[in-house]
Amino acid sequence: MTDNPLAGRRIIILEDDYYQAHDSKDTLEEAGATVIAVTATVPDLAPHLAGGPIDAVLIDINLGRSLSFDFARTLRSNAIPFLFLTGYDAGMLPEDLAASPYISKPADRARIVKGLTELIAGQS
Amino acid sequence: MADRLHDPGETLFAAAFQALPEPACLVEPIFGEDGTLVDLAYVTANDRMAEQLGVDNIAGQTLRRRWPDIADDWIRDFAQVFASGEPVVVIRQSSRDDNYYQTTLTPVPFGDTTAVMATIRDVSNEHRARARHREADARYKLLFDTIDEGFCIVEVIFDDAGKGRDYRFIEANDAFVGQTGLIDPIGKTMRSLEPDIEDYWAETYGRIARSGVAERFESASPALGRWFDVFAFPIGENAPNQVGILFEDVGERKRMELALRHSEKRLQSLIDATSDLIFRLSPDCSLMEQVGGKQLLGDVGEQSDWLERFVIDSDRELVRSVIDDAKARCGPFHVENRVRTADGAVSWLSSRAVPVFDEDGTITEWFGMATDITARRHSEQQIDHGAQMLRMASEIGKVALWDWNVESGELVWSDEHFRIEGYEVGEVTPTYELWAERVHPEDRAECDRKVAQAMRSGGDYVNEYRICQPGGDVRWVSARGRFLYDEQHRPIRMLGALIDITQRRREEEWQRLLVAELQHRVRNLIGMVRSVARLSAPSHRNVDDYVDHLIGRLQAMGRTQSTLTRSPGRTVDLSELVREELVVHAVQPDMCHVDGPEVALSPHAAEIVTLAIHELATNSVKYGALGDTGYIRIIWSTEEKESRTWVSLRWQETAPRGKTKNNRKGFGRRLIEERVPYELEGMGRFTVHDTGMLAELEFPLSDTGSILETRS
Repeated sequence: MTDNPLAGRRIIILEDDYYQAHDSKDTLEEAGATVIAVTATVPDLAPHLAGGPIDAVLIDINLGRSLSFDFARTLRSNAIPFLFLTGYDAGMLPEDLAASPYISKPADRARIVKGLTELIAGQS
Repeated sequence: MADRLHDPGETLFAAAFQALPEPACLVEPIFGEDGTLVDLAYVTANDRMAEQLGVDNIAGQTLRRRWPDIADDWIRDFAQVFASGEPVVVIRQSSRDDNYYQTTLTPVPFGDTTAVMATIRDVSNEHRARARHREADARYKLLFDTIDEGFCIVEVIFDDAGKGRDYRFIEANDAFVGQTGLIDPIGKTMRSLEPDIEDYWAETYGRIARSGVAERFESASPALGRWFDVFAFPIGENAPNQVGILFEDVGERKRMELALRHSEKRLQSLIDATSDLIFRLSPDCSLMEQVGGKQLLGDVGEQSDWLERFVIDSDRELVRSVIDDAKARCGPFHVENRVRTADGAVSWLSSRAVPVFDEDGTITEWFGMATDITARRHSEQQIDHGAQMLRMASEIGKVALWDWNVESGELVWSDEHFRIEGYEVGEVTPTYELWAERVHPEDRAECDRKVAQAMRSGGDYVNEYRICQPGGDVRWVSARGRFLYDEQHRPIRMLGALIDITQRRREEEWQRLLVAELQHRVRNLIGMVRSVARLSAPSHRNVDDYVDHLIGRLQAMGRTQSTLTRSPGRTVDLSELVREELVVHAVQPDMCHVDGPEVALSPHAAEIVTLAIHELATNSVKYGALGDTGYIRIIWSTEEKESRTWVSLRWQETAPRGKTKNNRKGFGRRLIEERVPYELEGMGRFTVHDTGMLAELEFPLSDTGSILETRS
């Protein structure tokens, strides 16, 4: 891992837990990424896309009152790569999303950075 | 001719002639020119002749003149006498008195010619006797040929020892051929007609001929393939070796007799072999006698009053009424009842009897049979018991049963099945379609598939699906069934049972969620601890301080968990939460005022509020009101905004004197100002005034409150 493996990458964090969200944001920014949004609810993509491409979205599955699967499908249809970060098992994923990249909580910072780096590399 | 009577010889002749006891006359021929006899002239006649003919004197008269009607016949007879010179006897019936007369015409020399003397004798009696005899003969012959029986007369041929060896047929009637199969027997011997004829026939006829004693017997003749009924009798002294045989081929009758005997024997064997009891009853049915079969009642004896002796008391009235009815109808009866056998055991009998009538239509007896049905009755009882137990078991176990007749489509549901489908018992007539209608739409295709597969494969039908009851209640059921097939492996019936597993499914689902949630929470908790630890770090230079704070925060989190665990009611009362935090931080009641309406917080909100109170209390003890003689007011209220209930909580400290305020953006402040908006979609303010610190929290109450929806 280089010092800034995610340099210049525009990333959105969807995470309903404030501490986790804060932690992830610090992690990604340390790896050089530009975190364009940290949100506990499903965001509207349009304003973010106006500022440039979205390179990746880090998604928590459980958003408290809802699950984020529909958002993941929206991302997929917009060809925006995403990475699940969740306390649940992979078995929780619905069939059509079962093959999605996935990191189980608790995950150390290096693992999150590595997951996102690979995700973005796989897309380009 | 009169002048010749003067001759003495003639006179003597005349006297003798006159003395004949029979009518007599002497006639002389009158020949024609061609020498043929043309007439006769009476020369003389005696008095008897005169009487016979009814005339006084006939001498000198000619036949033609006297009896012109009959002259020709007589002239023909006389001509024969003249021609032959021999006497001729003629018998004729008289036209006068219907008697038969025999006239003897005897030629006698008369001068140089020949005369004829005619004497007449009344032979009426002899003639009639002969006629009667002839008639009898004819009748005999007719009888002989028209009787159906064979008749023959044989002449027995004896051997040297005087034993009949063979016999020759002298006479045989028309029926003989049909009765024996022997053709054209007259004059032939039996052995020539049938060489294999049994010896005893000739021996028997020989014995009859010798003894003169008639015999009647029946005997088979294997050589002729027949069986004869014979009456043989000696013909008599005139024909000592002849025997008359009147016989009949009784083969058919014999065969029928034999068949009847066989049939009777078979019937007897059947009666002997049957496991039933064969009986007869007196005409009034009161007395019974065992005819054959098995001794189902033990030793019955000669005749007995069976109703009193064998039928058990409680069944007697029933049997009596059945019999009375049968007697009234003169028809058969059937009754099933218990009997006490001679050895005292009680068993069930099924009895049937039919009346037997005489020619007058009066019942002479009843004939019937009884079968032991004890085993059947017992198994029927067991089936009843079994059915009752099944009914009880299915009711107690709440098992719904079905029986589907695949061919007719008829479907039978147990009471529980109606209930589980959401019907009153018997409210509808069950059908496959009716059943399918209640199946949850998402499960219907799979149900149809599984039924079809079980029907095809012969394997058990095993299925779990949902039933939508009319009230909107959805029940999970577990069904198992099996198809029954006929010899051609066509499905004919399907039997099955289903039970309500809604509760089990809920528990399973609950458990599955719990496990998933526990896993999720443990992982999140670790993540949280890490985040809290990291966020706590910058505000402390001193490790002990850091550890104290960290432990305090972890304990606060722990308290939320234990509160939630204690009250799985899914919500946490705000007032209770606040008071508990104050107690933990040893805040005395006189130092604070807590007031607000009852508010139920979701676990998530409770967790954040707990941590917030913890942070505020910690800060206050360290820097604010609680570290001094200050006072704290903790007040909250609720308000409806945009169709959600918002709770607004104020933490206001009043400190008696100004104290150094920590204005850094520490853990607590970030919690209030950043986490509350972020996670609770609310607002948080943290301000420090000269008089003390004010913290305000405002957030909408979440309508979800499941324990499974908190995160830690």
